[in-house]
Amino acid sequence: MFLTIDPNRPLPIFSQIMEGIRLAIATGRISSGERIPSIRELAVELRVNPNTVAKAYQELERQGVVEAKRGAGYYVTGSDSQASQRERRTLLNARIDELLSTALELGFSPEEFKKAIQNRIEDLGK
Amino acid sequence: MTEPAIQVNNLTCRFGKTVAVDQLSLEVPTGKIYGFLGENGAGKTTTIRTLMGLLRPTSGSVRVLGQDPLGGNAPLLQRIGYVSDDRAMYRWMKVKEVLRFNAGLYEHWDKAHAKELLGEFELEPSKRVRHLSRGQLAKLALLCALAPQPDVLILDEASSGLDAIVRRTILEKLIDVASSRKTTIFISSHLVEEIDRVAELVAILCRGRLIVEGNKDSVRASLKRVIFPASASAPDRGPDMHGVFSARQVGKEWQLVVRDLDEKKLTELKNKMGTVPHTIEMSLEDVFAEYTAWAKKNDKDAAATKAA
Repeated sequence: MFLTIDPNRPLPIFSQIMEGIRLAIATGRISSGERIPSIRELAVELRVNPNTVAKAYQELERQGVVEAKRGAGYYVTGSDSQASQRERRTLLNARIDELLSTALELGFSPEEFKKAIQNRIEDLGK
Repeated sequence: MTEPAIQVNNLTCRFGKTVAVDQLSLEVPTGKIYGFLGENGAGKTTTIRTLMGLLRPTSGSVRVLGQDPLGGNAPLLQRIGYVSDDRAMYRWMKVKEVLRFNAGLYEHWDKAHAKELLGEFELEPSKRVRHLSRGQLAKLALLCALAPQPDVLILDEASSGLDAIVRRTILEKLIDVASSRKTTIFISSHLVEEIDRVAELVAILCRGRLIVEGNKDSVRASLKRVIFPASASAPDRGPDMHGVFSARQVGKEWQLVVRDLDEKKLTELKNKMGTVPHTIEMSLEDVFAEYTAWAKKNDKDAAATKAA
């Protein structure tokens, strides 16, 4: 299976499912136009409430990541490179936001944060 | 609006001086999976025994599918699948004899489905019940509860004390049943992680009383951890404020658990603590532990007040 659930993470299970599907698209494990598992399949597989999976799918649909085809399940939208690009960017932005809020909490200014990232990249390049 | 599958109204059960269940009221909507959380001894089994008509309430009432389960309500019991916490079984029978015996008791026993489950659960028909492992016994009990095609499934600690593989099989089956047959499932457990996965609604019980009930994600979000960084002006004790469940100092920072955190409460806390906090979400397991500890502390405080 391409996604796992960890109830000990403070992230609600439906958000974990959304994240897992996005990650699978970003890394090309599911491509655009492909059908994602049905609500029931994924619910049984992950042993989570079917309504939780349904909630995650509806939210992904609202955000345009997947589309429902009547009676045929949910499919990944867009062309292949589009879908993967889009999800890579979404996931990267989410991680940057997390990092940024930690930096601000530690009392760094956005400028200092930018500089720190730049320095790290340069260090790694050496 | 359809009638709830299970209704508990002001249920109280006393054994001598012990109050096992105290003024409990809750409703389980049809077709939902409802998680009944509580420590061992919180009153879960007692509540469930009243739902099965095995115990007469001291006061209050219960209804399952709109009916009173008391007095050997046979037509109603035909529609309820029940796995008891002790998984009582006829130990001298063979597995196939247990099935034949149960098939005779239930009007809607689905023979084909029973056979299918037997294979799925890898149960040997000619094996005697007393020779089954705990896991096999649990699966046989679940099979017997599912084969009559119940409208309501009541599970009392159905997966406690079992190994991870058996627990997984049981949970997968429950999800399968919930998504295909729209069976209402009432599941009691002290394993919060399991309830977090499968339940849509949860109730937390402590010492026979209902502490909190509702949609699982709302119950989880009803408590937040608020962390105040170390500062010279920080007080040396936690804020005494309504809605603050617990406050402890970890290193130099203060970690509070706050119920129904909103802007107003946050501003008030900021003023009291003198620093800007950050808020983090909690897992259902942590939320369960905090509510339980809070309920116990309230009991203790109440007892102390009474004594004084």
